[in-house]
Amino acid sequence: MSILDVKHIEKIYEGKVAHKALDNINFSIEKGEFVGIMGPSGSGKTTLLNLIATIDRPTSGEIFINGKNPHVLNRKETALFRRHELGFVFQHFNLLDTLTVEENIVLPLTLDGESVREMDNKLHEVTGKLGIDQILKKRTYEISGGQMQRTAIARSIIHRPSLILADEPTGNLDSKSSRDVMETLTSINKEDGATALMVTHDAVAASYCHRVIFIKDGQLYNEIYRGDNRQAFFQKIIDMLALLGGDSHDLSTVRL
Amino acid sequence: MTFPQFVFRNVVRNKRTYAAYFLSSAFSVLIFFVYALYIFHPDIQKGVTAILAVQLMTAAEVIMYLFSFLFVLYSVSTFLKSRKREFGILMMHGMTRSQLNRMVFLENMLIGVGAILTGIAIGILTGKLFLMVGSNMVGIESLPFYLSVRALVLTIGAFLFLFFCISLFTTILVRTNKLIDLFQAGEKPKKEPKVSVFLSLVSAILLLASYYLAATATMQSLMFRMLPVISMTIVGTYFFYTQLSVFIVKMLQKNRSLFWKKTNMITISSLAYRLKDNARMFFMVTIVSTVSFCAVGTLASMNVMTKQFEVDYPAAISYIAKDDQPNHQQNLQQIETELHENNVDYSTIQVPIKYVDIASSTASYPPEKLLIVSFSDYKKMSNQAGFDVTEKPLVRNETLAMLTSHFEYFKPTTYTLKQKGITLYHNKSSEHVVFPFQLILDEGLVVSDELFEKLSTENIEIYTGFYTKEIEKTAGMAENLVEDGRAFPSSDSSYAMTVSGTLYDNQMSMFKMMLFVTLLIGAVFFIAAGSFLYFRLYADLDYDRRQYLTITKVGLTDQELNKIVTRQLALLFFVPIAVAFVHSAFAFMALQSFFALSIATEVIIVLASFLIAQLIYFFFIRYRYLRNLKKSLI
Repeated sequence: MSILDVKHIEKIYEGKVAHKALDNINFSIEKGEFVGIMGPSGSGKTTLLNLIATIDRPTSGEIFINGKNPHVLNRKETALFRRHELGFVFQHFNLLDTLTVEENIVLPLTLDGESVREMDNKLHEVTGKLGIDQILKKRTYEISGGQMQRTAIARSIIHRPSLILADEPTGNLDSKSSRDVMETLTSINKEDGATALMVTHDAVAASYCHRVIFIKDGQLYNEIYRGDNRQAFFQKIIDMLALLGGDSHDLSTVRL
Repeated sequence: MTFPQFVFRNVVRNKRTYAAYFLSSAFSVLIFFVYALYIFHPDIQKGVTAILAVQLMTAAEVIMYLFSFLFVLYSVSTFLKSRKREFGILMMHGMTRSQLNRMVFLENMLIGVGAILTGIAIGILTGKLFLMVGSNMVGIESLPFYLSVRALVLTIGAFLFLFFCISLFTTILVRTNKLIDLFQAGEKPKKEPKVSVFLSLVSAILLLASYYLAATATMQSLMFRMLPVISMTIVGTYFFYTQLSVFIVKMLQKNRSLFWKKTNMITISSLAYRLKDNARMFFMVTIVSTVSFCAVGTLASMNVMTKQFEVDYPAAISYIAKDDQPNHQQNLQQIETELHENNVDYSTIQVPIKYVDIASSTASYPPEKLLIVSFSDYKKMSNQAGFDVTEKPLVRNETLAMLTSHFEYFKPTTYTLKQKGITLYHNKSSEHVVFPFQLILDEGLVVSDELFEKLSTENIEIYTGFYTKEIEKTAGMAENLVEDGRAFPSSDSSYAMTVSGTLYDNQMSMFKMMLFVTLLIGAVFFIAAGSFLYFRLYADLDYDRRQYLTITKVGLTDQELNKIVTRQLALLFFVPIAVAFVHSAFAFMALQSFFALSIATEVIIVLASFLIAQLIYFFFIRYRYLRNLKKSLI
């Protein structure tokens, strides 16, 4: 059963110079899949993610998440749709610095008006898994970048969404934190069967996915599957990036 | 964490952003409450000045309330703008529009209720002090502290209503634009500010014209000019900030030798954006400060009016006997006795006054009778009061209009008397006041001695003046003859009388009270203006940080950073104040036309104290801002 279906998506930015950011994109994601989207800068990765996230509207084409098209819903239904079906992880974490770690995590449940006991149960379940149960009372400026991103991941999964969307989740992290975050995402994917879509520049991060879709200049370019060996998959990704002529410099070892 | 808890924490942990807004709201509540304490005080509602005080404070309450409305509305809408990104994050997680509205509403109510409670608590704690100062100013016995339920109910009710209305209103203000715009708020490059040469010119012309009109205003033209000048200044100021100032900065940018010199480039280029972005705020601060300066300055110059008192009330006690009944002798006797009892060193003078009937006149409201004194009597009285008469003795039909107060103004007028068609014409007024206006109420003339002899009338009254250097000592004298220091000439009274000491005391306490009331309101306005600046600064902090971060990467020393920041802050703080100073200066020039004596000293003192307050505020904020900025730069 597919969780996400993207059909003939087109996005044109109007303005003094009209710019076609996405052109006839088609793909789908099955339940329990972990998919990466890669491509050089300006290829339209983030635009695509914004469309799926319902932050932005496509010029033409349709997107189905769990069989529903969020772009035909009204404002309130869209909000509720995001609240129930989607979880977000951002490059800049986007935590509210007025709230503590635990308050940030339960925010989606708070908005949904769940009982405090239910929130506590879910909170402990999630934070135990992510290894951030020691910092629940801390404020966002008291914790490290890796901890912030894990907090954001906890926030994105606490309400058990159909689809987790991640925009460069490792973009602001050092390599150790990146590994922690990616392993967290993988384990959630494996153990809870969560479906995830991740946009990234980072070949290492992408190598944790089951499948990586490449976009170039707003069009689908290629996709590759992982198979069993992550190391081999990583090499394939690097080769593909080199072919794209884009971001091979993201990993300097390749050039050496 | 339930929804209300979430809202509560969101506000409480953001206290730094809300501090200035919260404090100035609380301060408005405090002042409102203190006035209410007066108005509803059971002991205050007696006595002339006290009644006037209550009226004044009621007016002050209304002004404060209206101002608070505007202030809170503006503050809240500024906050909402600076929180776009936060709203974006929340909506991303599925916050519905109605939840967002509810959050904004609850937040406002929370701050509102907090401000009301704080204001009233401080009001109760310091109420006694205010009552003491206030009653001292009004010149009544110190009032005991009394917490009237009505004052409490009025304050709480009024401000709850205010915050409730505005909270409701602001939920409309939160326009949920496209989510993607909310998200990228503050990250988009700003558009280059545009200016219109036409509007810049309009602004310059409006301002110059209103300055010219204000500076050349005389006592008579002031009334007609007031409204147009005020509206022209307001419109001109608005365009000054949105157009003219940006225009000037752009001209500066063209001058490369200036613009490309050291840190000037950074300062000046961001200046154009800053002016345009903050134009509304600058405009508000300027107008609010100008009102505050003018109010306090005007009241402070009333002080001059009391100095002017002696010129308007030359005699300590003036008495006019309208007939020759014996009771006048008794009254005069009583006055003399009281003067002796109080050890007042005085001299006395008696002068005849003639009343002549008027047949016709060119005056717009022709009087029936005209009061006449001879020039030599006028000179005698003036000398007695210690004035030098520089006027040449009048001859034949020459006359002078009789000045009864230095606020008066005379048009050349011709009077035709009933007596044998004598026609009198005056084209200027006497130099000194000999009879205060409360004593005669009618119009009067000073005529040459020969003409005075020629005038025949049955209506002759006798004026008796008691002159002394110690006017204050006569306060409260002859209380059985006068009411509040004066007895008006009327048909059922056989005499008219003024006691300058009592009048002086009444006037003084009235001015003091008005000063007290305006000082507090001025303080509220000034603090509100300061808080506008404060949260503007905090709203921009994130953007500024990114900006400075970029610049420091290029290589900027700490000293240079300090210099740039100080200059930009100084502009933010002192541009509106400087414009307000200029505005007020011209307003005071217009006001000066009301006074015979110069009000420059009073005005300078007032403006200087405002400037010092602003300087202290500036250095405090600069210190905090720099510390805040450097935290993220290192």
